[in-house]
Amino acid sequence: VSEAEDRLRDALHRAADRSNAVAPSAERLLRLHRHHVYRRNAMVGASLAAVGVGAWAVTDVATAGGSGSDTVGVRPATSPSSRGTPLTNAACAAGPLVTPNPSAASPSPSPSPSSLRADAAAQDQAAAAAAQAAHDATEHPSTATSQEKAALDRISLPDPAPGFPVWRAKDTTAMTDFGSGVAWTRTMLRAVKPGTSTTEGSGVIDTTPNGQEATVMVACHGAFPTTPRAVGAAHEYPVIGTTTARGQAATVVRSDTHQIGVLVTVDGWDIAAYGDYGAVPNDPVTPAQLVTLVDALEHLDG
Amino acid sequence: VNATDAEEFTAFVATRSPALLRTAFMLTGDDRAAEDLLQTALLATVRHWRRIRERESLEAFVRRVMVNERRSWFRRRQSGEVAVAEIVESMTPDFTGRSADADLVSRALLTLPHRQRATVVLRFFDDLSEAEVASILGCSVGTVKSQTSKALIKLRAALVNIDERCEL
Repeated sequence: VSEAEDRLRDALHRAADRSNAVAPSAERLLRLHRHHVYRRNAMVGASLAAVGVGAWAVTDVATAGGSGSDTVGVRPATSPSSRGTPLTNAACAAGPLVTPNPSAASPSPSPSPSSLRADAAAQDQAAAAAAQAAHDATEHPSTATSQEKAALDRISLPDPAPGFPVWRAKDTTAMTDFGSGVAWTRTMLRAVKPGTSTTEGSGVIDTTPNGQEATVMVACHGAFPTTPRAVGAAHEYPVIGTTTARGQAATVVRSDTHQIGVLVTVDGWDIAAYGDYGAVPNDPVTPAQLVTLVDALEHLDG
Repeated sequence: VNATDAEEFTAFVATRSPALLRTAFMLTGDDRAAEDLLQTALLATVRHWRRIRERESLEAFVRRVMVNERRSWFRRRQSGEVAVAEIVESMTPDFTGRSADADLVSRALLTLPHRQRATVVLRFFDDLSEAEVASILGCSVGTVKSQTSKALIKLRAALVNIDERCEL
C-alpha cells in the first residue's frame, strides 16, 4: 500500500508541476481588500442613513478603512475609451471625474517592508486628499457638480425593484471613494427579504440580511472600470465572463467569496450592480438577476 | 489592515502562495480557476488576518477556504448560475514518458466527487495527517479514512478506464 501511495504522491506532484498558474501578488490582494472595505462601508453607510443615523460621506469611508484611497487626481471628462456606447451625457460632460494617480499604476512586484510602510503613509495621505476633495465638492459645489448630482438624484429603480422588492436603505447620492478616486455616486440597496434589525446601545440600528441583497451604484463614466481589460488593468476582481445589460457588453466579476458583480457603461454612466448572498451561502445571486436590475434603472437620460 | 499586518501578510503570500497555488490547481484541474480560487482564499485571509493569526494555522485556514469555495462553485453551477466564461477542465493529454502517469492521475482525479478529491489532494499531495485533513474538511478522522478509501478505489477504477480508452 505504501508503495502505491508513494507512486500516487509522485504522480500528483508531477501533475501539479504542469500548471502554469500564477499566484496573485500580496500588493494586488491588499488593493482588492481595500476596495472591498470601501464598498462594505458604502453599504453600511447607506443602511445607517436609512434609519436616521445620518448620511455617510467619503470622510467616513476613508477613515473607516484604515488606509484610504490609493491615489486621487482629476481627469478631463473626454478621456478615451474603446467602448461603442456614448461615454458622456449632459450631466457628466462638465462634471469632475476623479482618477488614479499614474504613480500607483505600476506597483513594485516585491515590495520591501520599508516600501510597504512608505506606501501605507502615501495611502493615508491620499485618503486624506480624497476626503478633502469630496468635502470640497460637497460643501462648495460648482454649477457643473450640482448638475451632476441632480442628475444622479433622479436615477432610481422601480418600486418594487424586479427580484429585490425590499428597500434596505433610502437611495443616496454621495461622494464615494472607489479606491481609484472619488466621484458622485447614486447608491441603491435592495434585498429579497427584510433583514433582522437590532438596536445597539448607542442607538444605532443594525440590520442583518436574511437573504440575497443587491447594491446598484451609478456614477459618471471614469469613476470605476467596467470593461474586462480595464478591470484587469486596474487589478480589480477576477473577471468570470461577460453578459449584456441595457444592450451593452457588460463584465461579470466575482468580487468576493459571496459577491458577484455586473459592470457596464451606458450613456456616459458607469453602472455596477453587486449581488451579495453571504447571509445564505447556498443561494447565490446570478448575473441574470443583476442584469434585470440594471435594465430596470430609470432616468438615465441625464 | 495596518502597515504591520500588511508586512506580515506580504511575507506569508511570498513564502506560501506557490505551494497553495499548486494545491488549488490540484483541486480545480485548471490554471485560471486555481488562480481565482487562491485569490479568493487569500482575500478571505487578509480580511480576517488578526483573528486567524491568533487562533489557528494560516495555511490550514487558506486550505479550508479553498476546499469550501471550490464546493460552492460547484453548487453555484448546479443551481443554475451561468458563469459566462465556463471553467474548462483543460488537462492536455500527454502520454510520453513519465508524464503519462501524471496525466492519467490528473484526469482520474477530475472524476472524483468534490469531497473525495479534496481528501486525496490534502492527504497525498499536501501530505497532511488524517487529523489535519479532518480539521480542514470539518469532519471526523473516521470520515477522512472512509473517504480516502472510497477515493482510492474510484481513482484506481478511473485510471483503468482512462488507460483502456487511450489504448483504443
